[in-house]
Amino acid sequence: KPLFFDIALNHIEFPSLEHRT
Amino acid sequence: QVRTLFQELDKHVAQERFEKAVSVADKILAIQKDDRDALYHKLLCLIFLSHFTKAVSLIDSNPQLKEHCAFEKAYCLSRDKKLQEALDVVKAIREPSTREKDLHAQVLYRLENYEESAAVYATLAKNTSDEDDFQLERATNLSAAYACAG
Ligand SMILES: [K+]
Repeated sequence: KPLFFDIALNHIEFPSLEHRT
Repeated sequence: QVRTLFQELDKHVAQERFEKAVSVADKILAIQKDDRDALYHKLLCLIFLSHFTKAVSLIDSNPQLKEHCAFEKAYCLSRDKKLQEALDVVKAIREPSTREKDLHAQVLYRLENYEESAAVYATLAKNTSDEDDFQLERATNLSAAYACAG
């Protein structure tokens, strides 16, 4: 099986909570 | 009190203690039922814990998440082996950005629709700059799609 990356996962990031803390 | 809970949530996420982060998010949601930040953080924690069925349920049970998290829902469905559903959700997203196209391409690949997957990667290559963080990974995925297409 060729190498294949889950690129979509890299687009999932926690936004800052600065305004709530 | 909610501010303190958010500080706690932030700390758990920074240290990748996602189970603990979920319970703190639940505490916030017990006080403020529809808190968007708590809901979204809970959703991402479930994703990083690979609890994809739960993540989809969370999205479907919250109108706010349902409206804004089509990308996340499609991603979770794809990881939960519901590829056709994932494809339907991702295709319904209007004005897809890079992340939606990346997801679209990889769902097509997992569905063994290698020609269409390659076509989406080709579009992405044209519409993203060399400075984009994932060009190397996209080139690799495109090669994989070509190899499998035969
Ligand atoms: K996938």
